[in-house]
Amino acid sequence: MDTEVSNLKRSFFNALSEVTSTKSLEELRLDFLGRERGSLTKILRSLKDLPVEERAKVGAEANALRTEIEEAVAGKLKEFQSLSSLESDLDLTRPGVKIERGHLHPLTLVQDEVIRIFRLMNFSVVEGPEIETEHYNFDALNVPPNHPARDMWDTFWLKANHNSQDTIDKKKNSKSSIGHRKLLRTHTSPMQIRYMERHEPPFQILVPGIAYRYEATDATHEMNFGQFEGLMVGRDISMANLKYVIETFFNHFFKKKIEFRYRPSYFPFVEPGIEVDVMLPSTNSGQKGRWLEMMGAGMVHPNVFRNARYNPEEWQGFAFGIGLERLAMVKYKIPDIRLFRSGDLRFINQF
Amino acid sequence: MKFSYTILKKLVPALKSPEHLAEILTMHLFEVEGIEGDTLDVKVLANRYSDAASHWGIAKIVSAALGKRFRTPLIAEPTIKAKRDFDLEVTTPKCRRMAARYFADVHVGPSPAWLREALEVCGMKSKNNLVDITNYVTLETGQPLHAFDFDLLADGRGIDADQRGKNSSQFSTKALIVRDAKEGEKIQALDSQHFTLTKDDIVLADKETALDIAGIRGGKKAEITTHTKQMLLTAGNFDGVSIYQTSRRIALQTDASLRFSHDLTPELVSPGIARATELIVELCNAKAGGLKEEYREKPKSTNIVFNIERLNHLTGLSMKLDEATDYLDRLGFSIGKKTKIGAQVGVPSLRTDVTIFEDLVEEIVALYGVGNIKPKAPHTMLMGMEENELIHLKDRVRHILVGFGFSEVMNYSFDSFGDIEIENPIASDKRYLRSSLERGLLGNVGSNLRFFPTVRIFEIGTVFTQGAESTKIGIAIGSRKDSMVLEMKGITESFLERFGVKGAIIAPEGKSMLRVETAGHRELGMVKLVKGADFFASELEIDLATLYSVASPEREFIAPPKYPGVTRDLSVTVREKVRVGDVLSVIREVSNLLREADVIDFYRGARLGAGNQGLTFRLNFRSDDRTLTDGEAQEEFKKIVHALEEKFDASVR
Repeated sequence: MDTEVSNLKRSFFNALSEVTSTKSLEELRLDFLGRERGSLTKILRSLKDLPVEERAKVGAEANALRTEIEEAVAGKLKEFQSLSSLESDLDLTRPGVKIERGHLHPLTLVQDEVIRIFRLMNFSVVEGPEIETEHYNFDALNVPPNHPARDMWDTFWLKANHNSQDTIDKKKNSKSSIGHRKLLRTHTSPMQIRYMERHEPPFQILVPGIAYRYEATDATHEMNFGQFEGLMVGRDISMANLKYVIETFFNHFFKKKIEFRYRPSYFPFVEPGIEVDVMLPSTNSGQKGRWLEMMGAGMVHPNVFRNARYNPEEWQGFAFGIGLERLAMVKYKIPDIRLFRSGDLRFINQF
Repeated sequence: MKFSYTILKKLVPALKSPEHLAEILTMHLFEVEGIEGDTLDVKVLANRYSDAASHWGIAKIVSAALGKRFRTPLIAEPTIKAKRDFDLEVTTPKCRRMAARYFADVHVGPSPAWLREALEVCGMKSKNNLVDITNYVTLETGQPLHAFDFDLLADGRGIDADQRGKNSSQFSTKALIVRDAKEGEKIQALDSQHFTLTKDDIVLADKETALDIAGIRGGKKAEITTHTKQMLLTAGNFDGVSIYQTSRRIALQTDASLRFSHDLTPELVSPGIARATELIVELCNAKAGGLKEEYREKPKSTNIVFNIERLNHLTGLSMKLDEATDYLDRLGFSIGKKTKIGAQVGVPSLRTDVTIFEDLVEEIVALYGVGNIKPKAPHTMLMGMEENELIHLKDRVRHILVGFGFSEVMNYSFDSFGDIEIENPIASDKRYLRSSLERGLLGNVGSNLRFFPTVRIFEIGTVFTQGAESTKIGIAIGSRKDSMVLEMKGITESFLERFGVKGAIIAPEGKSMLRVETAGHRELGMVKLVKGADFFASELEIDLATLYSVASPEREFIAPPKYPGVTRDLSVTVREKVRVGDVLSVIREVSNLLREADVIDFYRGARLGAGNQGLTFRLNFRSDDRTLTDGEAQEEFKKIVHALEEKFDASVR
């Protein structure tokens, strides 16, 4: 049953929710508890005129409401005060607290991006060993021994372990050890053979990895570098498909419409062999676009299929190789390849 | 290799400018690396030395690209005006062809201006008209040539002085011999440098000594000079591997050795000798003698069945047979009788690079332009990709460590020591393959401390030990003041926890190491405390495959506690020698309502008296089936205090 007190209570809390300033809060308090005009004060004052049993009931109710109102007003006041102190005391122009965080290496960022794009095209990502045999690195890829074509890949050779079978074989018969000499892979291409030896076509793979070249280091040459090998094999995989995959990749990677240029080239493990150049749209700085060599590619040479025991009459496909550092240098405008392995956090923490 | 625009313009009049030429070459044959005036610097591909490392060869391709057909100049046989007999002997199988022609009344002198300029544009120095002609003809035809002063060849009389006069006719015939060098045979080259040869090398010799290192460099002995009156012009062909190996062993690379290393076809000898003969007669006013030749290994001619359907299948084009054969025809291939889909194609003798069908496709596509092939999306079955778990794990490791505030570095795989040695190291501090990531990471910590007060880094990389390579995760942290090992310990705990390795044990191993193992005591790695030159660091290395094998990929939901817990802080004073780890173990053993115990304060100082340390633990008690009362918590707290007093002589502060 609604009483006068419970009606008052409802109207107080309705009004309180509308209050937005200390001043109107004080007005509201006076409306209910003010000595002159307070509506609750009036009820309390009129208690003495009530019959005894009613006086006790209404008195308890009214006093409880008074306490409730006083607490609510105090609470609201506190809320206002803390808000006003936030506004007045804190200098919000002060800098934000520095959040320490770690940084991925730019080559990792680029590698992740490349892998992501090729996964969009349903490529499987696989890895291979960095120490290779001459067989997988050269012979099986149709690069004959003692051929100057090998000079295209200056090689780090590994010393044979004196106790290992390698050395014993070598002493017995120098010819039989050819192809088993150990080296640091000069490209990720050996995985073409390794993968084909264990898998049946059709398939498409991307092989990220480190490769090595015996060459003096300068701003654009590194003896230790990242590479991606791509290989797609099927019954009808053509050069037109190769171009589609390459162009889809680069357009995604640079997130721009870019121009492509294809030149004839020679890699013993592909035929025909091509070189792919790209030109990024010229920037606002007025920099004239120029052709950037981005990858070598081609249709898998029938001998490579034979070496992996595939029938070249039945299967065809393409392969390509992209340099990881090259991509990162173009993407982030990094002028010197040596920065990547400098370990300098002033460089790495920019990414 | 350098080429002259002027020479090429004469051969292909349709050329408009050096830039025009460069554009055609780049798009259809070889990349042009630079143009300087009349000189084009061209990157000759390794398989094209027989047919296209020459002005005539390039003229052929460029003409074809312009829709024309270049015909190699035909040279008439010279009128034989000089007669002098000499012997030509080839005794090594590494020489496939040798041709020599005698010339009399040679007038050696300066070259005409056009010849000097042509050589200069191609980066060669003019010496005299005769030597210049041999070099110029190489530029034109691609065949290296060499001339000897005939008078300086030994006639054999010196072999045995007693024979002299007795039977002089027997020794009067001079000879040019191509033979294997003798082991230790010495020779002085044209530039006066001395070389010692082995039996694997080949020389041109007279009856007494070697005259030059075959296919690499001429010798001093029969050098052409202004006194030369009679001479022998030679053009040979040698096994490419042999020249390549000799050139590498004696560390001498010349224009000739570069060409021969790429296994030139012996067919080049004919145009080389013919063109040089023509020019020598003309410019040196000489009388030509007859040609002597040994042609031991004439290459078989190559015929390939061309099939337009196969071309279109491989390229994705829909080219007509006639268009394809037209490209081949312009390049000098002979087209046999055509069927509906193909033809027998004869390969020109200089095109040693063309042996299979795919090579013909390359020729056609290079002229058609790869850029003109329309990209097409492959039609394939949609099959689930193979997911390499270790690649995925590397990704997770990287993201977790970056979340912990660590930055990723990459170092060289080389090191100053290790298990696997490089046969041809590039620097003395890079003689081995690294067997651990540690040295690289500590180097990075040291160098970065110049710029940062603390350094937190990691690397995921390959390390090499005898017989195996493996991927490691290396984590390092360091500062100038201390090794921050407790942070490293915390990182290790959190790191392993993220991979679901439950209850990992990280325990001291000696003074400066912490052993990290699974609850089942499988070692995962060691945290090492390191003192560098001017910094301290901690480093941990974990094997990626091992982490993979102990990580649990799936997590299972555990319901959050239903009932609130009670938290109490406990401060005790114990002797300094008491280990915090031991105290914690006791605390955890005593109460079965204790859920967590953390060390929140650690203090040593005069206030507690010498030899004492103060420890404050924050203890959380909780039950799974009821709300604990203060009394129950107090009961557990007392049990712990009692145990610590008993075991460690601890006093509550």
